[in-house]
Amino acid sequence: MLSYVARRLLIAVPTLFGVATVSFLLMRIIPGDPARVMAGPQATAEDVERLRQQLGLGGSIWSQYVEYITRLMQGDLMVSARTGTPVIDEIAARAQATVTLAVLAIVVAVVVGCTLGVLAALRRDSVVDLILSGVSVFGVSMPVYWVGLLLIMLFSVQLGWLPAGGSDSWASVVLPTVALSFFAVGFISRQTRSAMVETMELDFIRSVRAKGISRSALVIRHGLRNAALPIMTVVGLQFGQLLGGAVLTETIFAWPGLGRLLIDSISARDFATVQGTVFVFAAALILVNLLTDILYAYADPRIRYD
Amino acid sequence: MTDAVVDPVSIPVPRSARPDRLLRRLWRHRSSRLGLILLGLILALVVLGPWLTGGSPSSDMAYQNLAASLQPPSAAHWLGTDQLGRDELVRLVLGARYTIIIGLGAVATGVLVGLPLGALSGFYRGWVDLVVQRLVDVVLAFPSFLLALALVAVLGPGLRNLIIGVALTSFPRFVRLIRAQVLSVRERPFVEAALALGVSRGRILWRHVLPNSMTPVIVQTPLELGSAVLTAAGLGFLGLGVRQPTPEWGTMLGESRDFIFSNPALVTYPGLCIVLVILAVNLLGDGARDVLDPRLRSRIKIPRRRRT
Amino acid sequence: MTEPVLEIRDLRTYFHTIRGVYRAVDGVDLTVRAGRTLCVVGESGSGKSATALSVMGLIEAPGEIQPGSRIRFDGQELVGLSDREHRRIRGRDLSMIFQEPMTSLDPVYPVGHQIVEAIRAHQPVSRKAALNRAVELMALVGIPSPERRLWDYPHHLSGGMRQRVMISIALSSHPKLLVADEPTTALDVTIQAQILELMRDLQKKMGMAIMMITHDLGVVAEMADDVAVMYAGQIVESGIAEEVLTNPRHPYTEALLHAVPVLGMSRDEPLRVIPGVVPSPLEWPAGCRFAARCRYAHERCAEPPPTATVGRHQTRCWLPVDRSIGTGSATRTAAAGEVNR
Repeated sequence: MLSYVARRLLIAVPTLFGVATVSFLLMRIIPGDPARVMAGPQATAEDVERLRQQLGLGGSIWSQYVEYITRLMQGDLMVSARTGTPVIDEIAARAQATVTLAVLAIVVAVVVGCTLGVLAALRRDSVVDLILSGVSVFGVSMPVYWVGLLLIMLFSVQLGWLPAGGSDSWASVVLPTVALSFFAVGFISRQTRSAMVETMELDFIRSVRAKGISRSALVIRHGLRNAALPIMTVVGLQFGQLLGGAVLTETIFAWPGLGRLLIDSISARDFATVQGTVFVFAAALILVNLLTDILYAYADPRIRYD
Repeated sequence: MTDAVVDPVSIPVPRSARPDRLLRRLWRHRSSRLGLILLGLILALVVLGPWLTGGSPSSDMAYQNLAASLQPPSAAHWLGTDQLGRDELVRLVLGARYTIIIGLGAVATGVLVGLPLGALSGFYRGWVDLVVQRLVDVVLAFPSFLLALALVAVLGPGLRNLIIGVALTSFPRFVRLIRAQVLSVRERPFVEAALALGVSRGRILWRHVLPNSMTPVIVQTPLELGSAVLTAAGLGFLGLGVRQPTPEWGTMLGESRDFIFSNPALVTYPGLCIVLVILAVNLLGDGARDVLDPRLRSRIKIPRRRRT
Repeated sequence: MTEPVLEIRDLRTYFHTIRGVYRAVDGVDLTVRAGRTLCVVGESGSGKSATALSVMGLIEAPGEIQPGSRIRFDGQELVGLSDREHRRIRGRDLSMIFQEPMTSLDPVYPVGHQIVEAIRAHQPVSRKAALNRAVELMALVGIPSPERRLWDYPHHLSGGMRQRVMISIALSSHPKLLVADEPTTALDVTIQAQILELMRDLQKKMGMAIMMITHDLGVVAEMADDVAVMYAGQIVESGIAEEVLTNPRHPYTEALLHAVPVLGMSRDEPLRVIPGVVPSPLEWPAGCRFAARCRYAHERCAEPPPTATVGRHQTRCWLPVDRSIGTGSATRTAAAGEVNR
């Protein structure tokens, strides 16, 4: 188990390094002089030069790269050209809102998606299955940005039940969570259905049934517990989609998280913040995938002990 | 009565999966048939769009008529008009072109980059493989929408940059797909036979291995089109798509946000168009999975449930 | 002769497929007597496993036990029981072991946990008591150092060990009948012999009846008190094992016995293979189902054959096979048991 975790960590490190390199390159492919672009049209030559130094854009590309990586390892993600504060502080101030939204959405998606998927699998080829399959294929076909707008139209404009945006009360978290989990519910229920169908056809299910235990114990303790392994894998793989969706969701619902920070920085041509935010998103995804792998190994004794 | 599980790697290209037969079998499958029909209609719209809308002044992109803005549906404007008085239906029909062409362009670019990289990586192995696989790992480590977003943000909006940004997120999947396929095909006897006959390795790859590795690419392509359209329209929604006043569904949806209280219909239509594209490819993909997955296929002899 | 613990009468188990009705079990009559071992023998596809699963109440859609079928177990009719009612019997008085020990245990739980689950499904005991009982059971089925093995996962154990675990699960509530569906087929020959010996041993200790499904006449010779030969969804011959094996009356049984290679038999002497294939369960022949492959077939065989009964020896055939036809089969069969020991 320990060697397995160590191996996974060893794979994650070069990937993280590669991700850092890509975000470094991101700011170097800006057409024209990046410092000039970011400083804005009113900036003087001195302003531009000062910004160039702050953002590590002076000197040869190699010295820039060395400086970038060195500063990154010290937790320094450059300075926002818009506000002058360190990007890492901007991110820290917003991270919690995004984490809250993402965690809520994934919990909702897993609970609802697994329930629907199990129901469909147990009633395979029935009317229930047919309806659930139809609903879930719609679920995975609805772009989060449209779902968000439809939810606002229905629950804020028509019914007036829930706020259309902001983060003032607990009620305002409902619509963003639903919007963001919408795709994942459909996705997870489809995966759960097929994993459950496959699992319930395995030999051991029959021998467990021969023990005479209750139907629910059979389905949950043996069926779902084993189906959870493939489900976990695909859910982990889909987490990147959720993060991308979070950016759009935050924009639609004016949710003050990293996604909003990213979009605002793009409009303000504050590329240092764009670069830093994208790096943090990618690092988060790597971390989640690492955790999924470890969790998977923990859940599957065949990996845990080998 | 246990079903033998055929290892898909040992039969990289089942005879029945040849593209012409594949299409026929997809047509016989309930959900992929619906997907094919939907996709066909959308493609027809792409081709025939300008001809269908030729008579309307709104087919001129620069057309505005503020006096007729935000009208409800009428005989003249079946779906009403938008904030600039343009016919919504005409713009939706024309929008199909831009949305689908961005998607197709991105997928084509993804294939053009991913195919050679994956083929070389799987066929020659060694350091080429190592470098390509690291590259793919790194690109896939990013949430794909954010990578496209960042790239377009940096390069600036516009058709070309949009295609580059979206293609960047789809090529790694093609690399992996082709590599896995080539890895298994190169182990087949005819490759060894060709080597023994003195055929050059490059020729073997080009003439024998690649043609035998294409089926999964063909199956994957529509799914990638769906994901490309989703990403491109998302960028358009954020205002990072094609420039005004080009009618593109994502961009139209983004602009409609301002009228969500006053004119919700404008939010509904472009979104519905995007959904239809994604739905079409998902249905097609579901059918393809059923038709190609040998485990599912063997179930054909297992019976529908009958309750008494 | 002890009284019957299981009586099957006219069992029909059909599977509704898109190609038609698959009549896997089509009118089976069987009796398993208390404390005795009945071997059900036949080729694959003859409906043996479907018969076993029908008894266990493990037939799932699209399979269905037809109305009119009767399975009387321990004084109670099983056909028509709800799953809930069936569950109270299944795993307690009536238990089963399966063909594939490698895949019959849930891979994500330690074996001790899986034994405890079976115990607690039917006995109101604490987890701790159940664990102690699990250790006893594991010792009983010959698993060395059971306390240590308790927390092993199935993938740590060999096929033979896993089958021993399966047996301990099956015996956890002192069943009256153990159904064993080819329990040794997937195992090495030496392990097969050990498992068979274990089963005989346990039967002696615990006194349960065994219904053993097999295609291996060696296993029959080794285990059976009674035997039932199954062909194309029906029992074609049944009776006391010694009697049926030494004096087969049905041409199919005779042909089966001839198809077994025997030690000491000349290598030049060809094995007599049964020509042809088993007919499809979608379309059984109207008359005798074996007729197309039978060397004694005549016109009469186009009609369904009657059941001839001599004592407990029953044969479903038009031709009362007399001993002169089956020359040599008697001596060969006696040796067949020795080969696979």
